[in-house]
Amino acid sequence: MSKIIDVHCHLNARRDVRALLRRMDELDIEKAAVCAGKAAIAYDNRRGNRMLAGVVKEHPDRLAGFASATPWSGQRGLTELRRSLDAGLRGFKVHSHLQGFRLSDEILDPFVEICREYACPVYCHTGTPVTAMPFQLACLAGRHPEVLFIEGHMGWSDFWYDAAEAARLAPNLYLETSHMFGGTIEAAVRSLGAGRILFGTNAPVSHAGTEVSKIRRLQIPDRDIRAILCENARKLLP
Amino acid sequence: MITDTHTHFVLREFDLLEGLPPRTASASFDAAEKAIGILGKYGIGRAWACTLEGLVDDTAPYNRFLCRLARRYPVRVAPFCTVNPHLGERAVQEFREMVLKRGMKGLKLHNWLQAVSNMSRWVERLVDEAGRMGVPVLFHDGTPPYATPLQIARLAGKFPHTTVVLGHSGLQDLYPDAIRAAKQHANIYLCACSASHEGLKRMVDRVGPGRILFGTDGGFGDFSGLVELHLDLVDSLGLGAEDREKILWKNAHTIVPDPHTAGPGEGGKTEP
Repeated sequence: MSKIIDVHCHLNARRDVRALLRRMDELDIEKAAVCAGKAAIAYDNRRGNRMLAGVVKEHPDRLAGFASATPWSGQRGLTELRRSLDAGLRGFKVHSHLQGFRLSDEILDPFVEICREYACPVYCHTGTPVTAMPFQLACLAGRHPEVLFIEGHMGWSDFWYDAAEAARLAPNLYLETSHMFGGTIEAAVRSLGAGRILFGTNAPVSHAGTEVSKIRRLQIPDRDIRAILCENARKLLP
Repeated sequence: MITDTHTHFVLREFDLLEGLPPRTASASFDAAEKAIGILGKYGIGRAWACTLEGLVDDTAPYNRFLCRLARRYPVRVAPFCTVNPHLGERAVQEFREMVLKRGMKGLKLHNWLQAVSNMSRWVERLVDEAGRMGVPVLFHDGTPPYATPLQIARLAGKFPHTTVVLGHSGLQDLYPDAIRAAKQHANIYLCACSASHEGLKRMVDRVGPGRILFGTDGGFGDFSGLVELHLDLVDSLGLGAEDREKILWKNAHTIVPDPHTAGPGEGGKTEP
């Protein structure tokens, strides 16, 4: 059975890294993309980014860090994002609900432009009205066709109907599976193809083992399960 | 026996985006029996059965369908009716008839799909009436603008004699409000259906396992997958046997008694 790559989980504090690695070992997760906790994403970006940079330096084969920078911080935030990517972080985490702006707003554009420059993916929380909805993300992704965007949680809770249709508008938009029901993921495979779907746990908010079991039970071909659990993400986080 | 307090039994399987299938003169139990079979396979012996089509169509045919299903499966199916609050007094009368004459066990309201505010005087009448008849109201919740936990909590506060179940405990974004609602009002129960691991853990810690119910939303998608997912969710908490039993069935049976213990008149012996 192939290994797993988790494109989205959280590390709230450095002391939690041992538990994270143990959980990854138990579930055969080879690599995980980690974001900081809520406060560090919402406003204390520098603290979270520094913590992540330290952790991924110690575990470069297992962990890839996603930086946060609230767009309201303007030039200071742009500098922080650039500094974090220079320090070894590999992606950009956006949580427009926590950070207080509409995901479609142009305020994020200069940050995404840095991601294009560094060729790093942009992970966006979706599913929370009115600031973090799939079609807002499609709008953003449409303005930045060279950047790879990840639609976090596939619009969970109530935007499951929108998730795949939004992704159809922007070929650079991928869906991430945490929290979403299996039937909706199966429908997205039929609609978009398994190549546009990435596995994520959103642990510890969700239970990583439950998320893995959910994907393994999908009524889709084994090759599609392998693509979702690992192969698609390997291109993203080589 | 494990009780699924949040299921939807349909006349025929369908996709909401494709529209409702045409009604037939004689309703088939095939889809419902398939669902009952799946639940049974996972040890779920009883389900609070709500309609799905009736939330967006005329309610009466679907209420009657659930009554007929419950007559065939009196243990496995605890039928919950729905009514359209926009119909005012007619909705209240339909609800009364369904409970008092047809033996339905509760009311399901889905303010989002039914497009009705919880400030509606007719929603208030229905919640009041439920308490007077001794049956619970199972709400969809977690979805603005009409179905948020604190909107429903207002009703629970206004009608403390009515048992109110938050069918999703706030979903992903509003579960902290569901916890607040349950702490404020002792007549609120939280259904674990669609909760996150973190959210459910906090509910157990802060509200206590005595007011949490197991539910799957089966019928609103693939039954097997939803059942497995939600059983995994409860297992992921690592609870002791007593607390686990409360969530999986004991709490539900205090709200809608298991017919095995409810006295004569209802029993499972005739179920095929």
